Amino acid sequence: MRIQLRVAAGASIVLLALAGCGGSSGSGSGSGAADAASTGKLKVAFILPGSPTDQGYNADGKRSADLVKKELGADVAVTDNVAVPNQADVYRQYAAKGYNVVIGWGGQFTDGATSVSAEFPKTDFIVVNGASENGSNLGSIDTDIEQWEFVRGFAAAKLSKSGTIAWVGGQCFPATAANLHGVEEGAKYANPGVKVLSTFTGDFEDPTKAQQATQALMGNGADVITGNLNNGWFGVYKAAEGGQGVTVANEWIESSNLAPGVIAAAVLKSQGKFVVDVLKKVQDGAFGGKHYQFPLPADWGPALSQSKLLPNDVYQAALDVQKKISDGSIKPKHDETCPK
Amino acid sequence: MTSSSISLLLVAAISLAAPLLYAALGETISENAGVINIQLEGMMLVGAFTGVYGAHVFHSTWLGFLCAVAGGVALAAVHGVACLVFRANQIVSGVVLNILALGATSYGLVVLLGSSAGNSVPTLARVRIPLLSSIPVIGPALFDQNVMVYVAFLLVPVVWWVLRRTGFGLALQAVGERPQAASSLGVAVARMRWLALLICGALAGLGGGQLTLAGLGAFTQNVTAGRGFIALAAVVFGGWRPWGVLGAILLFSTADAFQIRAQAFGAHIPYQFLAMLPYLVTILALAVLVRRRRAPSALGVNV
Repeated sequence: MRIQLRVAAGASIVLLALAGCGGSSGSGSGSGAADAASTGKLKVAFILPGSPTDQGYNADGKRSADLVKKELGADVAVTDNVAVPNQADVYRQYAAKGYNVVIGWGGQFTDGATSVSAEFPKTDFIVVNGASENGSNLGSIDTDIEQWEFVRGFAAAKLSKSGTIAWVGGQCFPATAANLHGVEEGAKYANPGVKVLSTFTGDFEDPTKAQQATQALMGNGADVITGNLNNGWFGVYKAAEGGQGVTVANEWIESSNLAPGVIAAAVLKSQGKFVVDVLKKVQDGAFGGKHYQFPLPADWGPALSQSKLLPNDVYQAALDVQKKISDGSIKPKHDETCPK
Repeated sequence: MTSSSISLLLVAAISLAAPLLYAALGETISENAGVINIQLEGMMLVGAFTGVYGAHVFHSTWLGFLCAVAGGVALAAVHGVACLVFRANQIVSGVVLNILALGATSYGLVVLLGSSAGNSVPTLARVRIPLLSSIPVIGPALFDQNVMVYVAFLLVPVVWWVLRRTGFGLALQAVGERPQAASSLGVAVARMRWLALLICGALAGLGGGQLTLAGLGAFTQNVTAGRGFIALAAVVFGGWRPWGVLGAILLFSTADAFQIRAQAFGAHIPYQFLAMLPYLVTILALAVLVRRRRAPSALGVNV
């Protein structure tokens, strides 16, 4: 009996450890550096700060990983839910396993990339939404996010009947502030008299907080809700569903199936294409450890999705605005200041 | 602030309080019997998940709530086996179970619910109580909520009565204070602790279910976002008594509802400060107002 119990206890400890750790999925488990060298196949690892089920920033990381696999035929591994203090370990593990490129998904993964890139000069490190570069094996990718968000803000203001729109965010840092100000500027371009209310809930993931914030903003007259959240979006949808004629313009990909009664549009800004572009440079030996800044490309396709809740004239007007941004006749300002 | 915005603030405060209240009342019962549940958060999280899954599978919100109870009880039972059978340290078991709950529900989300539209379930409708809900300012907050909010608040006097006025309640407190003495008087200590623990699991599961089935209509990773720990703290702040716990939770949830509205009203206060406000107000108010009361003597002590 005692022995059986000990075995059971041991098994449950292993189970706990497995359940507690962040998930890691590799398409080529067990294949080491030797395999990579013999097949010549590009091996790319992604390090995500959160869960790929968040319908937001991390979901886009996973989506980008899938795109890299599809477009480049690369061997791709993803580790999710990596805490900031653990980043160097995860970078190091992938570099030691022979991955050619390790991609940190988010500017908070800059420190680990900086220190580990010095230890593994043959591995390339890329920080997405970062700014670091070392001229050899550490570079970064970022977008002029305000150019995309301008289009969303424009559509939101055109969609609003009350003349008040809202923006719900998690935390304020340069990238999220640029998101807010992009929406604001686009909304003012559509309707100079529009009121843009904003709230930071302090938490991208907590849907209950986002729900409360949205209800409060609706109470102040907002009838179109935009924002920058992850799982928090679920709370926005729920709050909007409780209002009358309130619609939502969310982000990343068309996802109106999540709340068909309220989601009118989404700003289409998935970053996978840019990651593929930079990885092609790696393959060609032209990476050079540089920072790559991407404006909204002229051949991007629509930067806004359209559900049945978005009238066609608003959609077309938004696409015209997008064209003007791409050709430079509208220049959205890059503003990283957090509201006080 | 106008009276209508104060009224909306109170509506939010009361509905935010309900999930916390379920978990905290459960913990009040359990701690009075000497069992501490650091995994209160985990039990809420599991309840939030099994609730949505149950509602999804059975197409019924009420069966969802039943599944939420079952989820909370299941995790409580693991704690019971570890601590009441194998005498593991209650704190350590609780901490580990929180990690297990987060991992298991995140995994379950992907495997059982998928991550998108399959995850959406209907929520409880509000039940408006005629006449009373028309009372200005406080009417909508107290008398125009979903049924499970009413149940949460009605549980406060019920738990008070059980703990203070029944033989069962007295035996429970004896077990939490002097287990050896209680045992010598013929109280089945182990059985009482198991019972208190499982009731706590059931109520914490309900609290999690309240969050997802009454509020959001969906499960997301770590949807409880630390509310179980708030409930755990409310038990201490409330002096291990149901009315005190209610006071602590109402104070917190009102401050929380206020801080999230302050920005929407255009108050020029940094959001980081506002987010801190509910915790600050609760700690200060309770430090000043609440008379010191000691914990049950055998709290966390295995017998």
